[in-house]
Amino acid sequence: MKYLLSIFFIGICCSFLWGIFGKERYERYDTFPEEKRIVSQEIPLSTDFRFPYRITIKEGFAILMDLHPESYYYHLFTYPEWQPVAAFGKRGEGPKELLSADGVQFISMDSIYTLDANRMLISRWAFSATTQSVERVEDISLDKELIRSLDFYRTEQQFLIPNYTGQCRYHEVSHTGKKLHDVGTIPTETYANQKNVALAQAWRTFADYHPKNRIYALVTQLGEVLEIYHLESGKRIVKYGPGGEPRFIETSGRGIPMGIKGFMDVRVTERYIYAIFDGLSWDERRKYQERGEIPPEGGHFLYQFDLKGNPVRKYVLDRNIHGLEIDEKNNRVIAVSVEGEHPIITFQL
Amino acid sequence: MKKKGLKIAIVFICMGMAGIFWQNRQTVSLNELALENVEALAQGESGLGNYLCLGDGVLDCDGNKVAEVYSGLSLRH
Repeated sequence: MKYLLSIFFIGICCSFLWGIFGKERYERYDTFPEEKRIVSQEIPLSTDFRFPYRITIKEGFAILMDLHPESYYYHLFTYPEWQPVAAFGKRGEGPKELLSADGVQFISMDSIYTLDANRMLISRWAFSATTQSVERVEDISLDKELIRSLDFYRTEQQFLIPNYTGQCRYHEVSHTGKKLHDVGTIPTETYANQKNVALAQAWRTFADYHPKNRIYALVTQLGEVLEIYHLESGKRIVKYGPGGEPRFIETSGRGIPMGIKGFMDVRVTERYIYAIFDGLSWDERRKYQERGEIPPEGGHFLYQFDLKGNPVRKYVLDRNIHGLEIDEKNNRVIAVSVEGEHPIITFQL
Repeated sequence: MKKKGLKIAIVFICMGMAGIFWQNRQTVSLNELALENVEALAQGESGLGNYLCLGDGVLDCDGNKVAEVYSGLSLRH
């Protein structure tokens, strides 16, 4: 009897200790070694935008994505002159129109890729110098197994697409849209037993990749988590910031955001990872509304990490921004903002 | 001796249960706004479920990009 009781005690003890210490705990960062305030400069544009959200620059051209446009989601400009060239990706329900705009990747003038999550369609567009227009030249229907794709990156080998089911972290998808592999897991500490769509929705991420260092970085829209996948070595680094992991409650099968609004966009360069961060809680946001004020729209901070995810510098911005492009050669950030008269602003780092 | 063993067993059982509770805990808080709106949501004024997708913004909600998502339970967005 005494022997049985001892085994019982040990079992209970183990269960208690496992409850506290058994869960996987990821690395943390608290502060940045340097902090710097930077001031924006506005670029006047003749084109009107309702919700400038993303910007990408290549080969003397820039593409700006409007998340809630009247007519066209994407706009091509010359860079750095910012002369309008063409608008493309008409919003609408017609067969050649886009239901939504969920991302753009500018590889070259004949390889501009866009994502329409509502149609589960990646399209390739090409610029025609003759007609001065951007034409759709290829449609890639995404595998139905993906359910819903909200971000993408096209590498030489495949598309990298964050997961929407909660069963893995991201998918490798062929250039024809077929799912090839599932990679990683959602690095949650709190909801480890809840691998479902609600979890994936709460862990909705923005991602970027750099072909030279083969780093694929993901940042969370809620909370404050940075994930770095070294595709060469297969190594993964997870860094939790002070905002912690995305918080949510599950209602009618979906994840309802709680806690804080986190990252807005991310860029991987040869040496660093840059991410726009908001940090305002939903409660604070609601207080603005209760006072009859409009809450800030966009991130007020630009975080710079090294390629191992260590904090390098925190930039405090004088404008809230949503999307960014890094001109590493000139140490410059080109960003889009929904606040103010001019949507495109630059910062000298 | 038997009584002492029993007491220890009870203590450890309590600790075990606390551990399990701690592991599975998820806080769901209600606020005033929540309580005011639960009734409206329960009457089916939400989108595809017991939640509301509101405004133009950056949150993905039922195929739209919205500013806020309100739940019938927390009414946080």
